[in-house]
Amino acid sequence: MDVQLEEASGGKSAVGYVPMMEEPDGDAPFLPAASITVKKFNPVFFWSWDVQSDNCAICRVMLMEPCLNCQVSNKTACVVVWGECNHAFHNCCMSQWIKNATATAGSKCPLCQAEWVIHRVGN
Amino acid sequence: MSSDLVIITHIFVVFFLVIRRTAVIFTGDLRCNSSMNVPGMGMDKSLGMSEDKMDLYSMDERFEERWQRIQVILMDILAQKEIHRRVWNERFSDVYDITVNFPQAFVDRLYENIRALFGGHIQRHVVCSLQKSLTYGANVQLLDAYLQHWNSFYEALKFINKLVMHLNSAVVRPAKINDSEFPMIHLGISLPDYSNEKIEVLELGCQMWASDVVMPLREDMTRMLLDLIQRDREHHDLAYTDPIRAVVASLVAVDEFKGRSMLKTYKEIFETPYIQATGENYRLEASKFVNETTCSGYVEKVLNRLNEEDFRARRLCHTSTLDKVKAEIQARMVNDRLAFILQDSRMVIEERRQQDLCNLYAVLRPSSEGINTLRLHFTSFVEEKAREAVGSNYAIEPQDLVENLVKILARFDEMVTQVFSSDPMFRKAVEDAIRIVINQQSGATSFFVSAELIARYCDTLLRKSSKNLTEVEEKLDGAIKVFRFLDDKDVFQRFYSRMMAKRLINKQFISADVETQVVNKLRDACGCDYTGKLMRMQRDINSSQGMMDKFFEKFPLKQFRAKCDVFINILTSGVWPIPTFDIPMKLPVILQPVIDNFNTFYHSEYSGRRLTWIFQLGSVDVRLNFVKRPVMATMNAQQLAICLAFSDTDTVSLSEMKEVTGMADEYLETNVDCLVSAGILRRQESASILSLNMEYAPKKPRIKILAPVTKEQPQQEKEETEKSTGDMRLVFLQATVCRVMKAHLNMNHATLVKAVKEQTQTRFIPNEVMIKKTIDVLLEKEYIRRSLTAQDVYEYIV
Repeated sequence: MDVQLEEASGGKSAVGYVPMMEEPDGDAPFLPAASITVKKFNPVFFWSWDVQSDNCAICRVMLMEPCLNCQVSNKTACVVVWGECNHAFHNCCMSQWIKNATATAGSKCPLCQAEWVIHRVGN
Repeated sequence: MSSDLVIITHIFVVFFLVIRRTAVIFTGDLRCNSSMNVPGMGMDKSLGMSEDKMDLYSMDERFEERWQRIQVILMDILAQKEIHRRVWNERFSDVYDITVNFPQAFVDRLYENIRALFGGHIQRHVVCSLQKSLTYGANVQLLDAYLQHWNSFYEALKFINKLVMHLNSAVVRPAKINDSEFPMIHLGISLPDYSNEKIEVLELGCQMWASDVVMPLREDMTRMLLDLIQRDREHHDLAYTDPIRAVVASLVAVDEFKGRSMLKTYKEIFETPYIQATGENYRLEASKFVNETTCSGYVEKVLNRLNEEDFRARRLCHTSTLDKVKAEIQARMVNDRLAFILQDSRMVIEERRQQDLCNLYAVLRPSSEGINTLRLHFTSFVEEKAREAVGSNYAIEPQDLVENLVKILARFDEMVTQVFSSDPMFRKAVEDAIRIVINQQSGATSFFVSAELIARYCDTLLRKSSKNLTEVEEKLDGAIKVFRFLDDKDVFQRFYSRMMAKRLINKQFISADVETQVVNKLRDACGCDYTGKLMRMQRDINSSQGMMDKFFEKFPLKQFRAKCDVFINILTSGVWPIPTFDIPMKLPVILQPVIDNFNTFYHSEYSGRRLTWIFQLGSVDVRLNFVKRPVMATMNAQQLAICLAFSDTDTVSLSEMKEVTGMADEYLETNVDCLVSAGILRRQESASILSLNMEYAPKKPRIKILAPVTKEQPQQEKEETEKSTGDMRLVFLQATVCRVMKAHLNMNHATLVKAVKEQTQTRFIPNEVMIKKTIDVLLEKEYIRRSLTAQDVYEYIV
């Protein structure tokens, strides 16, 4: 990792406004002579599920929100599941769907009727 | 006289009485069966007589023989002579003998004889003597004589009642059918006839006393009693307390039977005239006072009078009269004089004459009209004060709005506790007044204003500063108090959450604990649903901390962090009330390693997630070294990118800048404007050429460069809020109507509207029209339908 940083910071030798003489390795942006030095960095990231559609087709709640059942029981950890068909649902909703459906139709994706095979589960 | 023996024989006798009575009815033999001897009671020779001598004619004689003996003892008892125990026991048996061994006709005859004997006694001894004392005029002697007679008569009655107890049980209709009689109903045998409704001998005596003694004397007695009471009232002459009380008690006693008190005589002879006389007395007094004294003086007098009469009634009357007397005085002195009493009340409230107000409240409390008027005065006064505190049109600082209202609330709360003995109606009056003031909508501008002001006040308190933490907590409590009166709670939530988001992201909150406390209080006031997003925001910030620790464990970035603090906020999108659109730009190259490493780290920790860096949020602290005195500046990543464009050149044109930063024109220009107005950049003659301002020398060593969005944010926020609040309310109402209908399946219009109002009031106060509209929408969407069978009823469509 340190190597990465050194490489990256090595590329930043030209930060200072006042032309630099020589630059110690890997410390370039923090030279006292540099015109601007960064002292504190507080970026903000937003995360969201990597999904095509915002809603869960089963419970019609946003995938970013817990599913209806979890909202009622006040659970917050309600993750998303992706099928091979790349359709995504709440994991709780989908497992309930499979449980209800196996007897008659077999487990299929409610959106495209393809055989439901879990591709990955979010966490 | 021996009560022990009486009790023992009683137990025996009751037993046999039951058997006997049953036997008589079964055999249908009405004649006395003398062979049925009672063990231990065989004193009577006649019981030993042979059966052939027994017939009706001799029975008559035998009855007379017994009655003669009984008559003697009754007269002796009435005359308060001493009775020998043996005689008592024998007469007791005589009575028993008659009730058991004689046909019912004789039992009734015994009862009638006793009635006649009482009548004779009352006429000969009591009435005569009382009439005699009346001839000297109705005076205290009459009462004394009456009492004397009553006491001895009543005492005697009680003894007689014991002596003839078997007669009582033979003639008085039992309260309910007893066990031995029960089978007879099924066998179709008629029960003994008690239909002539006889009453116990004691009760009989009392009744005769009431009709023969009290009624003829009633006018004299009533006048006598009232005169004495008036004397007491005027001269505080307590000398006659005892006789009055005793006479009154006798009037109660004559009607008091079987544990219930009929009070008929008492009411007629004493209570009604007494209350009337009291009312008249105070009516006169009131008209005198009204001309003599001021309003508060009058009120004080009324209170005194009420106390006096209460004390008097307690001494003299039956307890049931207490309230009536007070009500009468209340009616004569307060209700009839309401206008006079209330004429100063407004002034008393305004001048806060505590004691006067206390009195006024005490006097008016029983009168609903009076107390309502007083409350109205009070409410309008509180409202006026609250309005003064809020100022017109909310042209007021958030701090003043909340703190003034808190002060007013505290002041009037104290007043309600001290003056109005914590009357809930008055407490509600204060709350209503505050509610009116805080929710008033004077003109279009004030819409939502108070919600925003309270939110701003909270924000000021919660922002990092050198304020004392306990003081902040106190003030926040006040803000929550005021918040509870707010109708537009949903609007408050939107402002609050937006301000809270900024505090959390920029780490500007004074204390994480206090933030949580406030959210918990809001939750207590409006439910989990209301604060759900606020709590998830806090959770995001907390988990960001944990995530940073993990990140640095895996990617220490020692060199970078030695010079530069890093803290990354990872927020759940959809939870934060912040627009999260992605504005493309080229990352400042010095920050690249952190971002890259973090991306690697995050995707190894979690799967199925997408990370978006929102440049315009968050902050970068930089030191500006190009000026003489280095300055610390806080800016966003976009502004940093712009500054870094000057790394190897003095002047940069806008188009070059666009090349370097990769930002779209609109963001580039607005951010450049911010930097120029902060004084860090300069425009050259041609406005599109920029350079660093080498003479930049701000007064403070630490500056904050505003982000372009925040400059115009307040106005924008407000407009957006006003626009979207209406939509949000409609959706909320639809959800509520559906929820209610789903729970009840069918409901009529009025109940539905009421239920929806109840469920909505923690967010906002919906009006009828809005609810009606919502119902129409749902009818159209076919969530509900009108019932075909009942009018005004909706059904939920499952």
